[in-house]
Amino acid sequence: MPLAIRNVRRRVGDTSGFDADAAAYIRAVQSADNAALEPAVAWAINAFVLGCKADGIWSALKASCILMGARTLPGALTPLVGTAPTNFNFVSGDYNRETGLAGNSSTKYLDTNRATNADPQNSAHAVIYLHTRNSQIATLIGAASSGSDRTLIRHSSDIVVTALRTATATKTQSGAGLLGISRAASGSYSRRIAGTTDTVTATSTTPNSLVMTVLARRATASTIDEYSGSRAQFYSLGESLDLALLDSRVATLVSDIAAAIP
Amino acid sequence: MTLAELLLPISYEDAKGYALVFTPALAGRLAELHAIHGDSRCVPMPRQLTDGRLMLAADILTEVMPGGMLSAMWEAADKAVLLPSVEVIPWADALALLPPEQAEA
Repeated sequence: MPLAIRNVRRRVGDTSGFDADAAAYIRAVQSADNAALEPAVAWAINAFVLGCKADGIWSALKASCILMGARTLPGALTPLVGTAPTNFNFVSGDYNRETGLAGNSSTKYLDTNRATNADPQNSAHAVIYLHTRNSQIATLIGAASSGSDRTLIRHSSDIVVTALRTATATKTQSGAGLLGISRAASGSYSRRIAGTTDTVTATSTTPNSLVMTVLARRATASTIDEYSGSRAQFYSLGESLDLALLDSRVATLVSDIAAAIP
Repeated sequence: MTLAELLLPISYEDAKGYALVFTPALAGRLAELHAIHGDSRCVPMPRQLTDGRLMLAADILTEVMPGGMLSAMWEAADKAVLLPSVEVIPWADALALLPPEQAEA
């Protein structure tokens, strides 16, 4: 196809030549946005999906949203993988195509519609990628307030608290970017915070059935608390994966989308 | 003031300065309206205040205008009942009425 014609097709949202999963996602976003994405945004998403597949981490993503790039909030809440989240109280003004979705520390959160025990006890991950990390006590992703069956990432200023089918462990680490946990064995799990990965020795227990939330905590089946004022650009839940590889792919996606949006 | 006295449409920046406060009965009616006219793209979920009333951030009003995620719900609402029944208070006052969160063990 001549380049000029191909470029015209790209401008109206054509996805031919894309990875099939990326194309399906881009079409769904464009449908929710009721407008085509810029070609460079669409190609950035395509490169992200292809990169995750090349890294062998794509199949571990079971519920995920790219909370940037889309033209509208409904577009941003289109699931990359899995079930769409339910938006509680976020409005269009909370969303920025480059920097993501901002909480307000008091009323707004996403319900991922994915239960903690949807993934195996010893194969699970939870990841959130932040543009801006608020300093107050808040949960970024996860569920459950106590007990050893919880899965969550929360923080108070620079003290990050993680749990992955265990009681909590803490680490002092400032910075935004990717905060993630991933378990591939019963005796320990990986924890990555702002570019640093370490191992937490903690034996897993049977996960609870609470549905996990983003930018707040589901403390019980009927209680949401620890609302966050941070701004998120991506989240994912699913089976175990290499957090550094996902971190690298999302970081590239963030910079590619920022460069692509006029 | 009440919602009837608030000039709409309101900008996102202006709306962030306020909270909408109302009774549990009205919250129930709003939930019924959302069940019929809304979807998961935007679910108004009020928080309970220490005085028993319920609260939403007023920036939710930016979604009720045509094209907004709550426009269909807004269109179906009985404004004569709704608008005078919702109190509009400063956001800081609403935050002061939120129950303290329990510290995690």
